[in-house]
Amino acid sequence: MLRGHKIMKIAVGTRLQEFTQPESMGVVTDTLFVNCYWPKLDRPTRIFARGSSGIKVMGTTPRNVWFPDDIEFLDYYPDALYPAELAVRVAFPGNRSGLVNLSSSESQVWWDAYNEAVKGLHSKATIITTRRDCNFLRHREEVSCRMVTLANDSVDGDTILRKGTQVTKTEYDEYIAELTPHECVCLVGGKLDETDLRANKAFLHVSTQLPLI
Amino acid sequence: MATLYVSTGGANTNSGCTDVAAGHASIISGSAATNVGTVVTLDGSPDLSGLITSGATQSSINLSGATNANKKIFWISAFDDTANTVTVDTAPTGTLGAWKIGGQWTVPASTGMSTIDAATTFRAGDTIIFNDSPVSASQDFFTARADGTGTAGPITIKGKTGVRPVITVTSVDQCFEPGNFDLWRFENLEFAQTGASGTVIMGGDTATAHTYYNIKISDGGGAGINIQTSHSRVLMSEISGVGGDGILLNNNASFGLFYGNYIHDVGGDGIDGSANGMHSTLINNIIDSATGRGIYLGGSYTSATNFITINGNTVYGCGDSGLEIADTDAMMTLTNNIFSQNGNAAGRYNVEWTAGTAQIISLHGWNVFYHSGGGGGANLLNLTVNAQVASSEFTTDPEFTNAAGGDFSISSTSPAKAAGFPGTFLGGSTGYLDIGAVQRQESSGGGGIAGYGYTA
Repeated sequence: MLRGHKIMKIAVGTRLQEFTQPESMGVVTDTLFVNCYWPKLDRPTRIFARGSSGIKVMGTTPRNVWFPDDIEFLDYYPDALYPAELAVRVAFPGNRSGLVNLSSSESQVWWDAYNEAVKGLHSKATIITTRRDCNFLRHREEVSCRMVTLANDSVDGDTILRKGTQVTKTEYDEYIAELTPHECVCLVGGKLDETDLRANKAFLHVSTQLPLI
Repeated sequence: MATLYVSTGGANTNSGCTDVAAGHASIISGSAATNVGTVVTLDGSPDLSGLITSGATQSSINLSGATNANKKIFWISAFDDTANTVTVDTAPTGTLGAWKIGGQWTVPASTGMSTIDAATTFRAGDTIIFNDSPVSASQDFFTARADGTGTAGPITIKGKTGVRPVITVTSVDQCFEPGNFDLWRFENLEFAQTGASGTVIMGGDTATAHTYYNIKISDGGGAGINIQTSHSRVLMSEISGVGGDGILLNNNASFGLFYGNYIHDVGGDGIDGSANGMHSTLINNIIDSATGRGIYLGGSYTSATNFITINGNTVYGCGDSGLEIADTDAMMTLTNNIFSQNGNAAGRYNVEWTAGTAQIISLHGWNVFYHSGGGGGANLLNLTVNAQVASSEFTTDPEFTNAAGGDFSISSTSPAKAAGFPGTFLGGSTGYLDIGAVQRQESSGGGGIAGYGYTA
């Protein structure tokens, strides 16, 4: 089912967390992203620069990533993931603890092993659809604030913090309000005001699902 | 105890009692009596000699089509291998001729096991084996309805040997909802949840002693595992790709054991003990590139008995502190760990401790704390290297082989090599253990092989 796709580049397990700003990925063309670590975004964000095209995504859910119009979300066979992972470990032995930032050659081994495993699956093997519409607004709620006093000289950015300096440490809980596809399109297109939207949405705690009081 | 096989190649009309898709013996006779002790006859002359008729290991059969409320697994109380009959504990009341033994079972589409009767009939000691990945569910996949026990064992959900089936939930619901039931064990499975929020594996308010062994969590909106009570264990598992913490120690989480895990690329802290985590033990974990802290302990530790052990871990590249201790009463032993290049913004530190307490109520020694100074962060706050054990701690580069690629083995010139405790024990200068989670596996001259003090 995945054959026939024109794939020029494959990125497997690639860390993309640093690309949090609009168009920070630059122009990307003809690339398949498989189980990549997408940036943590507080709102739907167009991280691919205009002119990007031919992007396909498979596996791990890209949350709040706004893709070019020709984006394709590929179905995949979950039972082919483990053989693909094992193939990389066998081909590139060592003390690797996990599969992150695979090189292009490692990614190709992963992809070839995945396709080979798919051939061996029976007709009833489960197919999973990569989720395309996971968009939301994130809200941070302060839960505690404390002061710490430096016992030693330290560095805070470009500032030297001398012993005795007080530093404020604030803890936050994160809350999520899901957006409908229509809200998302309007928000990214500038037809909806984010402040108004935030005021009218119900937020749930990111992990416990408790509503924001 | 029963073992139930689940496969997409199976059929819901099979019982799932054997790992063979084709149906085995069918029940061809037996009254529709409602009395306990109904005798049912099996065709195909099955070998019944291994059946156990009482105690914790009591054998069982699943009668597909039987309609006893919430009970399709029947415990065998007696058998006759010559007559090919078994006596079951409760009489089946289903349609005669429809009951079958053998074959694989399947999970109906879009439900998960929370809505299936079998999920309500598991009992302590039962094992459910997934041969392959079931279809995704749009609600909680597993919902516990019974406890495991110390006598009969846990209720075990596992993937078949040699494969790693993926349990997928396509909403904000959980892959496992334990309710208030204890002693469930998950093994050799991968869990993915595609929601905007929500924990992948939830902890129940009073559910204790769950074990997660050799599992992988690869996707989730909220935390990977939310532990809320005591005595749960996460062993040799991988957690990544979640929007919240890798492991969240919430509410009354305590006495947890977290051993040999690779927690990386999570949107929150690697292990978050901001709410609790008392008496927990963290050994040989690698925590890599968490957006938040590597390990955060900020719970209300109000007693001197709240001891925490952090030994042999490698914590690298987290956005906030590699280790942050926010409570003045937190007592711990911090040994044999590498904290490297954590805290990459202003006001963040590789290791941050509450003022004055590190050297007062906790033990730290044989650690590597390294921060190159880049990114605006700094190395240590309120912790003095070698304050308690002279010359046992270092602030130089541990020299990982390929940290960006997940390889945290150290070089032959690393300060962490052969510098861990114990060495020659109690004050000796020659160590056999490398500091950190990964050993160099050298046959001599330092670099432990497979455990404390062992050399080839």
